[in-house]
Amino acid sequence: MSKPEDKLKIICLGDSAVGKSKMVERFLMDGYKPQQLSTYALTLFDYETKINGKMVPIEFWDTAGQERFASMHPSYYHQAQACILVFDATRKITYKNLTNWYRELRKYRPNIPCLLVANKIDADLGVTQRSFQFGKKHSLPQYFVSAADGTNIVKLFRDTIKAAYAYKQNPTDYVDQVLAELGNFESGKLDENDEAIFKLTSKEDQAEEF
Amino acid sequence: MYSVMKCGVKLQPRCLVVTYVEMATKKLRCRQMPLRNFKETSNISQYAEELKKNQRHRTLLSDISQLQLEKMLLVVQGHMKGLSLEESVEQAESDLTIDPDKDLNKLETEQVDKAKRIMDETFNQHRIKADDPEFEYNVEVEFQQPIESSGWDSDDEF
Ligand SMILES: Nc1nc2c(ncn2[C@@H]2O[C@H](COP(=O)(O)OP(=O)(O)OP(=O)(O)O)[C@@H](O)[C@H]2O)c(=O)[nH]1
Ligand SMILES: [Mg+2]
Repeated sequence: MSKPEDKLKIICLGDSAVGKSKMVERFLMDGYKPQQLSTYALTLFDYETKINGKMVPIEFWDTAGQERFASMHPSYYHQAQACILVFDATRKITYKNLTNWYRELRKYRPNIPCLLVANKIDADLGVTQRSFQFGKKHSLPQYFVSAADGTNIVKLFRDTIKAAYAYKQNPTDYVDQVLAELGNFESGKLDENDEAIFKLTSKEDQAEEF
Repeated sequence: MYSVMKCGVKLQPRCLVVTYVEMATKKLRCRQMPLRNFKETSNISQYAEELKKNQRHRTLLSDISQLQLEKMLLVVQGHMKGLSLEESVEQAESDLTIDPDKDLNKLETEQVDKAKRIMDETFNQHRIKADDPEFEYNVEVEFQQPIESSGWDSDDEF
């Protein structure tokens, strides 16, 4: 049995309707176990994969982009080891909004690996010949994918898992992490949904003796 | 078996018109489906769903997407509200296209769901499902270095 603190937590971020849920579903199509919370703000998916000969449990946090869920964001970031940041290659506004998502991500998780994704390339293959500066500016690897036809989805998720694993082995910003997260607990307004999520992660908190 | 050619509307009397080829006889046919109880205030997506379930028409309508039906119904409704046919078509079209500059994060759930239904048209057209013969779980494609700018970076301070 693996201990809860062995679990990798990977979050999917980005505007509403960029295709985060479709991407996770495409990756997990072979026998996933969705763990629906009583809210539309978040869906958790459990997954397991072998890394260096060891089974590693992974939790994908498929978050919702709608603004009314903004109060939940701290719980998304809490203890995450990697982030998949998505925009919709057919909608400029979702690219513009990356700035906000990225700023918030870095406020809570200054150093976790973040992979940038242009989804829906099937709708306009031409986008794969165009350059986007956001990834270069922040030194993020960028992927062109399609949840519809599957292009590069599996590669993206496998790369993310590897990055999350590597980060977990060597979290360079460990102290920042603890401080930032303690801050969140005190300042964040909690509603019932938030609490449910904090309970879900509380075992990990104890393990790290906050 | 049918092969649907075209789908349109007639305003006098109000009905949906579908032209199709009947495969058995290879004859071009036309069917008019009266829009019973369709009102200025009717809920478009509900009405379209019911049409699709209609015993008599569902085989023929299974080839026409929900979105296309909704568009036809919107045209009729616009006309009922006093718009000219042209205005009504234009409005229906813009109502069912996604504005790439609209921030969906700020909309009500109902509107976001509508936007997602519109997006589902392309998604379903391009979707390769697990039971399709050409399905592969891991599809890796390497793209060449970009040859032009997206133009999405110009007017800001990233
Ligand atoms: N053409 C195309 N459409 C896609 C693709 N992925 C998603 N879509 C469409 O985009 C819509 C929204 O996708 P979702 O996965 O629900 O988006 P999301 O990012 O989870 O949205 P929120 O949960 O509201 O934040 C879907 O209903 C699909 O119609 C893709 O790869 N190609
Ligand atoms: Mg979603």
